[in-house]
Amino acid sequence: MNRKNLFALIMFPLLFLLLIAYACSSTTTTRKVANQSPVTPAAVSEDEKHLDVDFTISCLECHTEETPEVVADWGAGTHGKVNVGCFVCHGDGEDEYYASPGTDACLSCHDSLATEVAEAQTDETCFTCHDGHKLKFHAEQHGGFGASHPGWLRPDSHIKSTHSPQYTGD
Amino acid sequence: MSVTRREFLKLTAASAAASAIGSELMVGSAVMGSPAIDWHKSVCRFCGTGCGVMLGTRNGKAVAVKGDRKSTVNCGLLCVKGFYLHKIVHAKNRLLQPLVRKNGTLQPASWDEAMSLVAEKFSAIIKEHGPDAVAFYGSGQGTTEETYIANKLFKGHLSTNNFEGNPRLCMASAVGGYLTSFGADEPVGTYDDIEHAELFLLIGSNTAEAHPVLFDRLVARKKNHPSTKIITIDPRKTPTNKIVDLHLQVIPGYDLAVMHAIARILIKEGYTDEKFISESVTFSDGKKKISYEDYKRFLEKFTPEYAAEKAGIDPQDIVKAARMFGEAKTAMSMWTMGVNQRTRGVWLNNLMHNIHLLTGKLGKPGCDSFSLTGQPNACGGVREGGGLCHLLPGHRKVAVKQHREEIAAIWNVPASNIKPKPGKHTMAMFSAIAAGDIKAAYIMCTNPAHSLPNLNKYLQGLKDCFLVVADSFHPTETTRLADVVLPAAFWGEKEGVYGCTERRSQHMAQAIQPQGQARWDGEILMDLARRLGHGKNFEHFKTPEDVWSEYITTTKGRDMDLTGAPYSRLRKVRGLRWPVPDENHPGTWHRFTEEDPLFPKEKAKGRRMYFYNKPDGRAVVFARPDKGPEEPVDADYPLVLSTGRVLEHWHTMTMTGSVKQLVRAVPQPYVEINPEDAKELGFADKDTAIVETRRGELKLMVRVIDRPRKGTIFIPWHWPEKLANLLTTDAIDPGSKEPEYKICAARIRKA
Repeated sequence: MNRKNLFALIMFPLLFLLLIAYACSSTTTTRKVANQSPVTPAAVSEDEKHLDVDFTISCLECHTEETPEVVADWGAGTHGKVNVGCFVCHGDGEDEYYASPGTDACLSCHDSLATEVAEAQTDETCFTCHDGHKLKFHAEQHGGFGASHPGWLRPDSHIKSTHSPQYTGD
Repeated sequence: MSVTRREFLKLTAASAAASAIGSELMVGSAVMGSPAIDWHKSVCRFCGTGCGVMLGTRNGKAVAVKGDRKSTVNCGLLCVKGFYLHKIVHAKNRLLQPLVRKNGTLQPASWDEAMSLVAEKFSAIIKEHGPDAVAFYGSGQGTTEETYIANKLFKGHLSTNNFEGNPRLCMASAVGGYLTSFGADEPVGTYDDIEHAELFLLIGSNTAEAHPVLFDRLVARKKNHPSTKIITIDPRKTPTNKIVDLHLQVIPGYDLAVMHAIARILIKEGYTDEKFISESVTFSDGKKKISYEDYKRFLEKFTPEYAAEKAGIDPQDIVKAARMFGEAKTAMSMWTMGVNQRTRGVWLNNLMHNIHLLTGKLGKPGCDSFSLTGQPNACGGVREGGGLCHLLPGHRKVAVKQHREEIAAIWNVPASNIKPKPGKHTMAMFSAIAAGDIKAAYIMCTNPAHSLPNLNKYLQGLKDCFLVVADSFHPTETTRLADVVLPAAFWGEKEGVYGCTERRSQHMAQAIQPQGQARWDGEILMDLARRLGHGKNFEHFKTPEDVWSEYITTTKGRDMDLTGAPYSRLRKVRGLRWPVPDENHPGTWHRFTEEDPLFPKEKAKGRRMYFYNKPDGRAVVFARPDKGPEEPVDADYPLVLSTGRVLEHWHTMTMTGSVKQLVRAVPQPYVEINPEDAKELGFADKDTAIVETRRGELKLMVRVIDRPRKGTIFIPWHWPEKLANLLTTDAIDPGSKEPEYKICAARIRKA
């Protein structure tokens, strides 16, 4: 059995249980983005509205006080280091707000992962392995799917960018 | 690293819980994974980094953007601005029809009505007052093709060199530095040097916010090679400091002495490459050639203590910085506006080149003195395309007879059409508009009524002259003052080429049709040319490709040879870095070395570098005086005011201001005050203050933060409702004519 299958074996029952638990207990309605037209921005559902707080200050300014541990997690990860702000995944809080964001935002920069996931025919998402704020690569430590992302050009693949090869397009 | 099973389950459970909703989106993800989207290869519309982006369209609308993973510039990464480009295409402030001022207000008009009026006014003014009574002011954001058409019309057919572009306000000092030090504009190396550098010296650059994807590359470089060191010289602590090892937090305007002090230590402690110096370097005091010994004597004054006192830093930090630079096998310096927007910007650029020339850290992997560009096509369209008052396409000058003749032949006009005297540089141009000497101006793709320094001096003139503004957005501070506003097609709605910081020219596909009645800027300019009776020489431009094909003939045999980069090739590749003299040439990494197709081996006679645009093939190390800022602080105005940017907004906010998420990130303008100053002056966070300079005042929210150095304040200049440029000085560098946006004297009081 390869590592990927082993990982899936552990993950799927776990996810299944969690989803059941989530569906039973949560008062939050799941946002069914998958069923919507891909070009229509999802409307903010009533029960997923951001608290009506002071929108004249930045997300980060308020959350540094209100959820310091989340800001610290984010700040310690690469996204924090390179300033990929809260709004990128969670929206502006007024017109657009995603308490639990989907993966579209991830794929804007880490696009090749989409192909990879499709090819792997897995139901796993970025967040199966990565914590949204810390980005820690749990699965990597265990040789799971995330161990390699063979097609994924991570930022550090810049090291491979040599001068001479000229790409010839898609 | 080992993790126990218990920890593993804990971690997995946490992440699975966090992603319970997200999980249903991954397979057939809402937008990014949709097969119904067509992806078009393009280049980011924002800064000068030149990130490859793919624009996703569906049913004629821009619906998504993703990083182009085949681009070696960004490997698929985006910054938070590029991320929202598709939203900007359909922003509410897009101008969709021509506007003409009638009875004092701008009112919708037909294209024919608007263009007839423009042509009529320009003709009448030229007839009555001569061609120098009109002017063109362009942009480092227009495509190369657009700037080329405008250049051909104004310099070649209307016969005025009153032709400028906003790169004058942004990187003219870098041009001056490269020309005087190396003999040719634009960097020796490319971004590829980043992955070979052991040390980075960032000066006057908040890379993390102004060039985020390059900052990502620095982060990655440091992560993969933890021994990599980063030094920054900047009056402000910025988000860039997250990865910085040594910060020299200088008093604004006194870093020239620091650079000389570093050079002195490099020589004294034996870090120089004497062979390189003897082969490829010469010395000058700016007026005449001097000897290496003269230069050393000049440097004697610049002890670490002298420089440290001037710059208000610890002398030991200067010594440390110099040793780090000297000891690193490879080193790359990068800078932006903190160096360029200075009355001695050219000199400071020279001093940056000096330390690379003295140590031979130039023209080899990991070594370069590398100026970062602020706009996506300042290098391509304006510097290379000759979009300034003294230039002609292909790194040529109006003052050189042969250059005028070569370009006139390509433009099919008598050489006498091109005037030998440079026109009015940007600040002189807007002064002439204010004085009423220039009576009509055509402004394309830029917003000077927001971006010029010392605005109070220039706004009335812009109102009074016949002002034509072609822009994709309205209102802007400039369109508000216009007599005619022309709706220009935006990024994605037109085809063209952008040339970024690293000499790379990249093709952008047209992905959708222009919205409303918007037209391609090139088409608007050619319409004007026809109406002014000069249509014949533009008739063969049916597409942007036709324009590019003519443009690259102007580069043949020049140091920036783009002959090998026709559209047919550019459409396929992720850009090409000139010189690229033929279609089989892969582009050039290090200029003036054997890698450079223009490297004259016979003349070089074994030398590693030969600066072929200098008569003796040698680059120049300059002994420049350490002149301070034009407006130093005094008892009346005791604080230094510096302006700059934030990550989430860009320039005059015409684009980022329409994206709610970006507005959310930084919702309001503010003035940053150091906590110590705030305490002394009695300011608390979120107080309202009035910032005052000799030119104007501005009421702003106070942000007490340990970013600006004590004694300095900082205002981001993006917000139209709080124009930081009412305060800035319009004193210019005598060489580059670039204003000193970065330094003026101010005071602050409670509102």
